[in-house]
Amino acid sequence: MGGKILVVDDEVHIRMLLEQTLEELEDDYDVELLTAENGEEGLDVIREEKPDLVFLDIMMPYMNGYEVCQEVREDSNLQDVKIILLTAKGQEVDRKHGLEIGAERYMTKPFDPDEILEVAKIILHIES
Amino acid sequence: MNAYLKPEARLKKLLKPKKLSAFFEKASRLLPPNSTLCAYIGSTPIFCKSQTPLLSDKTILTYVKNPASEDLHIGISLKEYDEISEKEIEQIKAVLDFTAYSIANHIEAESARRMLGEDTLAKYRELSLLHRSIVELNNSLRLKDVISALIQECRSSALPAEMGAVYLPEENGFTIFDSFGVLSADTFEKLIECSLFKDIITSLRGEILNDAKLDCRCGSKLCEKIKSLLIMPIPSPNVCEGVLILTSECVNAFNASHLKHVATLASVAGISISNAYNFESIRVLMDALLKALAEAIDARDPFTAGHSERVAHLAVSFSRLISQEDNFFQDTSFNDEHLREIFYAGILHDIGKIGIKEEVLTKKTRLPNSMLDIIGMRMKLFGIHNQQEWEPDYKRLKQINLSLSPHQEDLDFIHSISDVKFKINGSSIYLLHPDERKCLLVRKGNLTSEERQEIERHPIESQRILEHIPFHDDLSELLTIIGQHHERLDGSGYPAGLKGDEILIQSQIIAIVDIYDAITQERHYKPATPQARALKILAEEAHEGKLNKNLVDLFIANILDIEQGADTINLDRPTSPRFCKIPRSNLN
Repeated sequence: MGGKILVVDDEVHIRMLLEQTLEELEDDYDVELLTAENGEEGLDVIREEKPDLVFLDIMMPYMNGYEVCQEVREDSNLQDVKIILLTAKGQEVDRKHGLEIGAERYMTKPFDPDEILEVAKIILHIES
Repeated sequence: MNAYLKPEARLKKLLKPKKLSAFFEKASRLLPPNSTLCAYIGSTPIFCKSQTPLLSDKTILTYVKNPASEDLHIGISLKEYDEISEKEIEQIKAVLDFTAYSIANHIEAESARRMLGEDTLAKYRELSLLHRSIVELNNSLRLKDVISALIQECRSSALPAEMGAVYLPEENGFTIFDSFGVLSADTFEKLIECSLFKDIITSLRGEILNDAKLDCRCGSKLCEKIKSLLIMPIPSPNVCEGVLILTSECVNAFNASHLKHVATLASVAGISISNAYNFESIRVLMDALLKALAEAIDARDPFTAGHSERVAHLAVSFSRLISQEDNFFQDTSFNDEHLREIFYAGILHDIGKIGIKEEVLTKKTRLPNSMLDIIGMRMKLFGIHNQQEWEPDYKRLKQINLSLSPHQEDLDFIHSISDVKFKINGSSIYLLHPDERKCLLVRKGNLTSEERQEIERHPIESQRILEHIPFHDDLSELLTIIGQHHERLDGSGYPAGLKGDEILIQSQIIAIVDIYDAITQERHYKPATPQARALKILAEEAHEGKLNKNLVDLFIANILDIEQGADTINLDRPTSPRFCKIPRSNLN
């Protein structure tokens, strides 16, 4: 059990809501929660901490989620990092693009807390 | 407070170690180099900047205010305390106070943030539940689908129930419609007898029993497996559409948020169920109206009573067979909706006869007996007057009057006597009037061409009558099928004289079973004919190119199966009789 989850979003309220959602896992399954406020910081944290799962926003300043995702997929040290794109963009082409560049899933905001938890549990192999 | 937890975990509940470390980092710059900053839960130092303080160190403690009333202090441990000036000590205390104040503020803000976040999350959860359930529960207008979606949602969403059941009102009160979990139906059936159950239906408000045995309204009806229980009415405006019960083997399984969650689900389900009922009621009402129409035709003419229904059943049975046949009719397949349409085409194919003159419709003989009597009087008068034998002629006339296909000699006989004219008391009298002659001279059947035209109006009349009913899309071909059921492949039919492929296959099917039933049943003008003879006539018609030969061959080859199938069809009430039967206002 356990594992690391990173939340990367430039919007503080989304970050907090996600944290809040995932805190359940933190308490019950000894999961460590990390946050980052933009793509660059996110990439740094990913390289340093090698989280098991990253919830990654797409529309962020400096470096967007697609770019972060691509960098991570090109880094052979980070192959075990699973990425879930979380975005307000709901176009089918966006979803396809996200999956093409190696994201596990593409989830749209407003997110369903139960779905977030469920996905996190599956990826971290936590039995509910 | 949380005394059973480790001190580290207790601290973690208040603020994140990372945050605390950031506070300590900033504060330590204002402190002498040999000092150690620590957080304390009770008297245990747990989170120390740089190193654990030694017992010899002098420690200054400050309480950190927090909403959880946790015994949290931060302390600074100083080596060589005695060497520090009083002024410096004051300064160190001020830094410590300020740090404690900052941390307390942060904890307060953080806990407020958490609570707000929890509220927001709860709303988020409810919203996404609504989104999801509205889509899933409104996926279908069939009651069965709606209820099974509800059960599925209760099962999969974050509810601590191992078992559950949905009850719907039937004629004899509420019964279990669907359920999940390992349960003996018996246990759940007993719940209906609880006064709790009646309370819920009346109040239309859900309830939780967290130690169900203690509730006197149902305690005695419960088994060991039900410790907690959530009961929720499924409401639609002013009516209880059903009741949902969820149970758990643990006490205290349910809380207010579960109740709210289930209430949301139930209200969505209520709308869907109400929709399903209404949709079904429309169908049932439509079915009943159409059947009433069919009854109306049959009531007019006792000889054709049941004809419509028999044609409907035979047509559906035959159509099913055609769907299965994959030689000539490989591409013809009727689904349930098609069969329903064929059924109604059968039921209503003769509806237009309502608009046909009764004397034509129920005509038994060429001329009515009353008229024949008058002709008899005339013949007698003529016989007496001319001193001729008249009775044999009258007898022959009576025979001809009954005949459906008179011989040529008979027709010649009519011709011969219709020219006879005689005079009595100065007025001249025809033995037969031109009108009477016309009726008696009909070559086939007993109808004159005007009468035949009258009868042949009925397919169009059917269409005209039914046009007023806004049929659903799945009955879109109904009027065409009915309108074409007297068309024949060679163009000899009516009303339009359509040929071959211009005639719908459904109409060709109705045509065959219509003829078959008309022949095998008794009519005003004829007794019932044996089945074998009817099939022979069908074969002849097919041979003449009037009926679809492949269809007729299939019909003849499988007539026993078709007859048998027709007996077992019950399409006219496709769903349970629950609909319409329950006076819904009496449910409460």
